[in-house]
Amino acid sequence: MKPIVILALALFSVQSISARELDLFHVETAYQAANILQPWRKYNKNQPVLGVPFAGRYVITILPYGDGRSALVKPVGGTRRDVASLIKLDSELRLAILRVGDIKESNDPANPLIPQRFFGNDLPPLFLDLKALPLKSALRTNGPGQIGHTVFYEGTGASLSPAGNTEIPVIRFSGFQKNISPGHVLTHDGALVGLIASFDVATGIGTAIPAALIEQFLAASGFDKNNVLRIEQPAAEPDIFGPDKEGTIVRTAGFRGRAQSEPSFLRYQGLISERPVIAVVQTVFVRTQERTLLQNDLILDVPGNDITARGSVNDEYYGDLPLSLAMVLKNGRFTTDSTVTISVLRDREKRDIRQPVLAASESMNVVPERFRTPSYLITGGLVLLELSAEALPKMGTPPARLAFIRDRYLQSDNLSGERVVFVNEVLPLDQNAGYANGRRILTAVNGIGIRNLNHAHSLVKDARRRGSDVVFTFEGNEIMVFSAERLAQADEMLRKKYSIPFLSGAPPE
Amino acid sequence: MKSFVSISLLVSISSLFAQETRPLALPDFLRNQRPITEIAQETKTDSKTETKIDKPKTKVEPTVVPQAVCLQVTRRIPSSAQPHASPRVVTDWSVGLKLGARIVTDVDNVRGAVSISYRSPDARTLSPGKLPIYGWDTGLALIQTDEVTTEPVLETEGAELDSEITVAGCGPTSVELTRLRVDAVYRGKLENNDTAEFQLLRPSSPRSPSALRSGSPVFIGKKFAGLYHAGKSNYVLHAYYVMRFLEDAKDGKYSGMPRRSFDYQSLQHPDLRKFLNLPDTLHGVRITRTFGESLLLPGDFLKSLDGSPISDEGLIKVKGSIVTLDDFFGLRQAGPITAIVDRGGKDISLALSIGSPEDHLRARSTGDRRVFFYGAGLIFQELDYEIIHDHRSGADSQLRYRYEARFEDRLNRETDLDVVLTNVFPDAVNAGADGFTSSPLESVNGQAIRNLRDLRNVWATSENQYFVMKFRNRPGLLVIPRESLKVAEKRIREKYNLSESSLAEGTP
Repeated sequence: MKPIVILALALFSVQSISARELDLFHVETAYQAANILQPWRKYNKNQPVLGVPFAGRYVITILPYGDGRSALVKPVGGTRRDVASLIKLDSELRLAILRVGDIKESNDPANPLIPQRFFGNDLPPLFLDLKALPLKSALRTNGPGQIGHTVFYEGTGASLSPAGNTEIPVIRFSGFQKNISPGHVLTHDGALVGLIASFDVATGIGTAIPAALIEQFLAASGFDKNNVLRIEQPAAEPDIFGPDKEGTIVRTAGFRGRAQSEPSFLRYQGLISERPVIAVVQTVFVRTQERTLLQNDLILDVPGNDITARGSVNDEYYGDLPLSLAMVLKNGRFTTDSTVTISVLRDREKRDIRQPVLAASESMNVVPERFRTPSYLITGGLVLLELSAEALPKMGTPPARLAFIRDRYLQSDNLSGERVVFVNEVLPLDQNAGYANGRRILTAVNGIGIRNLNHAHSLVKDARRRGSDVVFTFEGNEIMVFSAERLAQADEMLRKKYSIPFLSGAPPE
Repeated sequence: MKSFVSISLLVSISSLFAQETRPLALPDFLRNQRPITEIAQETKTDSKTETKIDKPKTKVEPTVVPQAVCLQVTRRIPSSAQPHASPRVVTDWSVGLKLGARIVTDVDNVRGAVSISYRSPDARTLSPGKLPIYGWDTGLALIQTDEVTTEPVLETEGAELDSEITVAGCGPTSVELTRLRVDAVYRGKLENNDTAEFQLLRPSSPRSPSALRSGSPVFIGKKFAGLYHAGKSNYVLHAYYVMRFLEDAKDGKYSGMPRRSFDYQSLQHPDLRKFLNLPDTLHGVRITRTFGESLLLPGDFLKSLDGSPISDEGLIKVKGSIVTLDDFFGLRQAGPITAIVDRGGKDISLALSIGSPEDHLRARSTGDRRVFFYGAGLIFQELDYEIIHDHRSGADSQLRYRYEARFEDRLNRETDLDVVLTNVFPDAVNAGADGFTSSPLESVNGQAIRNLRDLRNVWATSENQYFVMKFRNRPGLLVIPRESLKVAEKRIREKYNLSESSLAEGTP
């Protein structure tokens, strides 16, 4: 065993020496984090990540949180910090491009900008041929000091995107190392294999966004293959990206499936062949007319994707992937096609359908994994929130009803734009004395069934503008009534007693 | 949803009491020093009629320390994780409170009992006791002996914060007394029981905790204060509940503690009153929903119960004390009760039949075996306390919801008892079943499954080519071919070393 270890160490040393050193930047962004159950309580947090400079004045990184404004960058090994402005942010991958300083405006010799030498190297070559990378290959997680850590390539797979709304292909690696965080760069022989999105210190398992997606993001952001920005003026940047109007390259076919290969099940469905099928477990659609796949449909075939015995698909680029993900990928990148043809069995009848391919977004899920900016409405002391999977564990022992609702929507047809609105607490005020505290689900405002918090908010505003009562109806037939006058008094008291600056915030887009 | 309601009720009730000068810890009658039998008899009389107290004809001096008895119980403890496996058999010593020919003890001491014997602490010989009456919702059990003696009248005393209490345990040759202090008086659930919350006392930690056994009587001076429970948490169940249980079980069967069978909201808020167009003279609570069979309807205004008016906050006066509606029901024996309800502006009188909801499944079973159904390498069990607390299926959010909100959300109308796929012995015949573990079964071959018997009947009588199982709120179907079932079951038994008799034992 010992000689093998020595040989391995020797190989790593050779590899480290031969590896091209990367220019890296510390990137620090400030963002406002919010308490999920009390979203008006915001606090400032700093988010230190690493970034890779390229194209003379740009840095590419991953920003798990925040909008990337007020960013500071500092070369690893340098002393000078400079401001950088976000020009691109992928809402799902959380890949971000920052532009550093403005060289033209810098004429203060006592306070020079980051020396150009730190931008001397361009983005390292992208490692795009993953099939040529054997499992357990040594990779480097480049970090401060340029030394980095050695980890091991564990192949590819599917994982939730950093934003948490859909699945993306990822590179998996293993190795018990500390100090690995989002934005660290994963390289092999100096080529960029991926940007690290997550790492679990306890298990030593991490995921990285593959180079192919980084390349696609750069291209969608206006950089050509030589990393030269084609579009110089921010105003002319593509509409779908940017801090004010985010977008993503991530596409989804809008369903989750489960393999069914049991012979008795297939025979019962009238299928003679024993080829596995994919049973549709959950569907996501944005508009009713896009509702093509239905729950319990059996997907028999998707052109170009052979369903394996395990019910997955052998993607030509990433290997084994779930069908729902593989069918929106082409050569390692997300497709730009707007539909995909699927052959399904519905009610024992075979039919071909054209399933829309959509940009992934938070608005697709009734109960999203997490809200980037949780919205809230406080009226009459009632704290109204929308349910997310992230909120449940914060409730301690969450009400069984809420936990069940979350799981039910995860496994059923998912109505876009619909949300579960609940009262998280009733802040005690004279104006709501007599109404009991406790978590309960809001079903209607003034008799109108609500679709989401924005909808509830508009109904409350409308009633108050007209000076009429506001009647909240909850699951279980409980009602709470407030006159417009009392709501106004309650608003004033809330600001005074609880120092809540805004009684509603971050309504969903 | 139940937790929503209970949280909200607790908070509102706490805040209401906070405004009162009366302490929240214990209602007055729980601190009453009169013989508890008087109070129990009072609660059975109509408050409109004059209270009659039948005092015992011959006054028996309260006996105290000698009432603790040692119990030797052999129990069979089945496992919900492996219901087909033979139950574990254990024999334990524990303690009970002997009252004439009856012994009351903690239900945990006799759960799954197959034989019971007892002796006085200073005696050497054991006498047989009869298998108990289980007070499944109160955490108590009653053992009948063959003795013919008069039941003594116990004087009770409600312990309060800092009260000195004495726990009477069972030593090798005599009663062992342990002096403790009451560290807290609180409202909480009993161990192994999710049915209701009780007034409990938290005693200080004993020097040797292992010496104190569940079922040991607790005294303040010479007055009975409750029964000690030793377990994951140590507490004393207030004497009132013990005496109420004894009264209930006097006829040889236990009816259970009545519980509120409706949800309500207070009528305090002026805007709510205005919206509902309520006159100033109407006081009470608004019924928001009912569970089980109730004459009340959502939208009714409940004004009084048994002649005692209900306040807008949902409080009611009982024997000079103001209590919540939950306590009002919990302190009564089952039976009819008169409710005055405002329905559509008119007062109507309803004779409500109050009883204990059929939620035995929310307390740990007292049986000595698990009921289950086995077929095609699949084991189905009924959703109960053990599945939620002891089985990995308890982590499933749907099962937890159906367990917790069964009555409140009227899920009991869908099934008598939810049937859950809990164990799979993987085999070609049940391929794909793993994806449905911890799911409640909805139908087999299109027939609704309301209990394990339904499943057994469909299994035994269906002549279809397949058993097609649909699970509640789970996409997909589980399809089992019937033709090869016998061969497959033999194969599974051999593969997993299962005996045919053990699999048949749990048949409902």
